[in-house]
Amino acid sequence: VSDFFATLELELRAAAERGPRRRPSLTTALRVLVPAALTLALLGVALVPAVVLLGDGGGDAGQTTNAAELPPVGTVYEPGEGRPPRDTRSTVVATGVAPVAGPWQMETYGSTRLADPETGEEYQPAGLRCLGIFLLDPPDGRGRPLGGGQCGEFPRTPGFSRVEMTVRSAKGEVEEILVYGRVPAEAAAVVVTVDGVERRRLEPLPGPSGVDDDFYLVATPPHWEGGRVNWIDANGNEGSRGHELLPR
Amino acid sequence: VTDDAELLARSDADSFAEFYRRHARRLAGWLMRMTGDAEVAADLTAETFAAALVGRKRYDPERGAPASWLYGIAAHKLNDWRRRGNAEDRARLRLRMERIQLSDEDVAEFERLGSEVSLVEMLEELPDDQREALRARLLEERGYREIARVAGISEAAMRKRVSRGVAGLRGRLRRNAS
Repeated sequence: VSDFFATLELELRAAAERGPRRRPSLTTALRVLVPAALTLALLGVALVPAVVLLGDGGGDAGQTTNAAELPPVGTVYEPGEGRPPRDTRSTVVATGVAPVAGPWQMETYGSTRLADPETGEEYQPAGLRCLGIFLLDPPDGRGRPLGGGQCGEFPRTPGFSRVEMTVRSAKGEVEEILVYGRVPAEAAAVVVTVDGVERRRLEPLPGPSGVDDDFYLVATPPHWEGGRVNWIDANGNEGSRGHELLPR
Repeated sequence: VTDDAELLARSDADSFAEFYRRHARRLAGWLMRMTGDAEVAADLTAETFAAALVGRKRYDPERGAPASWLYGIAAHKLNDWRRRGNAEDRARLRLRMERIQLSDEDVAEFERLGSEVSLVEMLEELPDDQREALRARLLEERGYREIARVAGISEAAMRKRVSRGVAGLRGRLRRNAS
């Protein structure tokens, strides 16, 4: 006699009675975020953008990548693995295909120390949480992956970050802006508004097993500057003060 | 009889268990047909109900019936499985639920459930736009003009969408009968 359904019912009943595992409270989060923000403020760099062009454009020039070549979420690259080779251990937390930018993969990794080689002045400490994105087949005509990312926390919106990547055509014209980031697992949706009018609403992308955060990526047209992005909870309330889209 | 929306609105274990009993086997059958694998279907069934339990307060009756909401979660998990190649266990981990090992009898039960199909389930298997069009036209008996306006397309396009949906259902019925 099959007992799967009875066993699952017992599991669900027990889970309903004890409730889900608690996530870190705001106080706990602030205990981590405030020192990080203070450290960064002392360093004079609240957030460290690190946009880099990757690859040498040599033998791979013109090679295209399609969505089928995107790695599974949860893929881990050890240092030296991947194309281009990763500097630090990174984990693929979300993938997708944007209308103009094409296939993309989002990755989390830890920052490496960046310092002026002559003066030793530190621009970025090691060990910050970073979120980056790779465009596998960007429309800029260079025929090589394009990567970018940001390290550090957003203390005013715990758990919710906003990073942007500008997608350009081969002529250098801005064609699309990718707005992406982390979003708390409590979020029911991520919403982009322009002049108070909702223009995009999407479900957060769940991270792989073992990663508590959810993630999001919104592909927006270039003229949405002045817009805002925020997350919405299950009751339709705004989850944070939100972020403005960066001016171009 | 308490309706599904009310069961989801309550926070006690009995209410969710009742919601589970009403939908578990039908959903498992649908997932079995979608995956063709009892182990995967069982994992996705468990993960779907775990996610529904975690998120039951998010259910909004104005956005559709509880069953549609549940199948929406399941479809999301199914897509995720297709993308990753393994069934997500995030909600179960959050609820500290154990993975259930299937016995031979369980596998046989999933295979039996996978061979059962109802018109409502077939409706859930249609593409989103066709499913919503058929639900509005055939189950809610709303006019083409109104449905088309809500969907933001012309009345002629909506008629075509409903027609395609009906053809899709017919094909599924034939396959199921053969």
